[in-house]
Amino acid sequence: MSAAIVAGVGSEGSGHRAARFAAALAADLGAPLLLVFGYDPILLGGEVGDLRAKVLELADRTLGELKATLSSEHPDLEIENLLVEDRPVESLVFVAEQRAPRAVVVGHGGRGPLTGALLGSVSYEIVHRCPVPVIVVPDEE
Amino acid sequence: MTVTDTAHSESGSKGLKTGALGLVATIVIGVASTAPGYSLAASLGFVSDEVGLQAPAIMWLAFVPMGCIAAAYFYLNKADPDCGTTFTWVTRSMGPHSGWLAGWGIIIADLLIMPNLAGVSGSYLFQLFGFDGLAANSTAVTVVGCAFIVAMCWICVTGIELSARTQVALLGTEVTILGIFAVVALYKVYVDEPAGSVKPGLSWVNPFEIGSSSALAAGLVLAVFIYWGWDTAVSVNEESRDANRVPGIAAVASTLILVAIYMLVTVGAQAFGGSEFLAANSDDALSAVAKAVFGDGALGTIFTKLLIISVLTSAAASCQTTILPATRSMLSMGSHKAGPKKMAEIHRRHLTPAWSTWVYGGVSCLWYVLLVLITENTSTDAYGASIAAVGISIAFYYGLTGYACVIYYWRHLFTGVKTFVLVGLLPLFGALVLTWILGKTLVDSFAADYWPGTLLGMGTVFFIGVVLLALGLPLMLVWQAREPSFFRNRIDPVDQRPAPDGTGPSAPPLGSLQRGGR
Repeated sequence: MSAAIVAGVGSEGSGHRAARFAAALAADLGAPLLLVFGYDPILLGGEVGDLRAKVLELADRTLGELKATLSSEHPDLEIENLLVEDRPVESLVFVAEQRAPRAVVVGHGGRGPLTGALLGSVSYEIVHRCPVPVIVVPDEE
Repeated sequence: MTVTDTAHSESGSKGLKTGALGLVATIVIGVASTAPGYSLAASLGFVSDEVGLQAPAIMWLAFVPMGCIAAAYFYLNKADPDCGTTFTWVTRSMGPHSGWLAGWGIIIADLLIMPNLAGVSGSYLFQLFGFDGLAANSTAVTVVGCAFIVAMCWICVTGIELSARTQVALLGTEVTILGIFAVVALYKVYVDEPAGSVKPGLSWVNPFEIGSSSALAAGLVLAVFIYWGWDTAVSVNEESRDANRVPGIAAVASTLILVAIYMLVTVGAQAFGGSEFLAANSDDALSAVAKAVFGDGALGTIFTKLLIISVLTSAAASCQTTILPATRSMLSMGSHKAGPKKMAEIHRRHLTPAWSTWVYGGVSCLWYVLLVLITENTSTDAYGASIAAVGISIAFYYGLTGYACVIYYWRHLFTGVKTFVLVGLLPLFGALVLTWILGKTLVDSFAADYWPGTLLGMGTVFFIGVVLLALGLPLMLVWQAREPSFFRNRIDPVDQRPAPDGTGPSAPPLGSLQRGGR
């Protein structure tokens, strides 16, 4: 079995176009697709227990819906879902290190270099830290 | 790195937890959550007004009960890291009615501080751009303050978070500037001896020099809030890389940083301006002294502006650390049916409790405007009283947290000296001190001659602090009549409570043990 294609998926809409691109790519290559949802609540302000549980529940539903859509478009594609409790970038780097995928596909929401530096931007940060090739797909056309 | 199993997943996703916070990040969260720059700007003048030259003594003394309660946070968090915190813990150890009121106490404490946060931000924003006239104009400050609340709610709703590096840079600037301010002030006191300056003496840090127990309680009720939020450094233990060492070191390090900054700045400001000057400028004592300390020269102006920026970024952080716990408590109350279900809704795109946040922001703005209107149209300073009222609600729910810890772990307290001290003695002592502060302030502030005046025949501080807390009682009964299920929760059976070190049975999910069954 060839190495997987990893797609970073966010909440509603974010990274979903990247996931569709990754699904098409994986199907062409005959590789499995790994959908990764990374989430970490803002720790400023104390305990986050059930907020995290609620978000992970929502993320699980989002991943499930996305998997169903992609499976209907690519019936033969093998899709695996993964929820990671960490910042999205950390999650993707972690998965890339552990699974050695062929490539990581992320969405780009259009944050410029300045806001990216101040607030952090998945697509800016991951290209510098990911051990495997990164493909960046704009969230909207 | 641990891999956690989320067997309940409906889509077949696997769950995974990666490594976590390092030491520096944990310290930064603890100190930033406490917001030293803003805390000083908001409280320095009022504390000086109450205890005069012993303000530095109050600054370290206030840490004692707060530090003790942080131990309660640390251990209760091991039983249940629910974001309802005190609401959940008190429900588990003392029953649903006490728990509900504790949750109400958290929300009220957070609500009470919002006008002050908004007011300080509005005033300092005008000063930053040199509009000192507008900074003194309460209508202008209120408008900008409300805009500030809305902006901060928007940030919390969208979940925008400053990157770790930005947070470290902002906090580093804040602490450095406060340090420079104190050192320059002390240098000038000894070298230039400006008019009105006083040389520091050891009596400044001696709480026994404070004239009366009423003044002591009044000072403490103002000062507990400067350490409010510090417990975060201790309770994010689950996230820390080496959960046995990091929280302990982070707690000690952030404490040292905070106590040092608070005492140094208080001593510096007081030595330079004298406590009467601080009290007379209580609305913006820090910027008033800073302008005098740094002077009008080019370099001085830059330092004054940097200090103002530090207070602003600190106020923004503090605003976040006020909105986030309040809305997380609302989320927890909503999801345990102790409040409307809508409070527990998560925004699908932003992954935050958006509805709760906007409701909270809206109520904060209304409360702020109401306080300003009362202050403008009556002889009492309702806006100033609100910060002492915050202390009342903090003392209320932090005190409950301390008692909850002792009650919850009662069976384990006598198993070892360390457990007895950390889980029993410290939380109990903290809770007793806070209860004393609460009781003393309530008795004193009921009287009409208590600072700052009266509202409907009662002391304003008493009126604001007590009326809002007491409002919880009828609200709770109304809610119980509408949706009784939360109030059927039983306290955790003794044999189903984990030990304070996290071993033994895990606490049953809240809501699984109910009277009468369902």
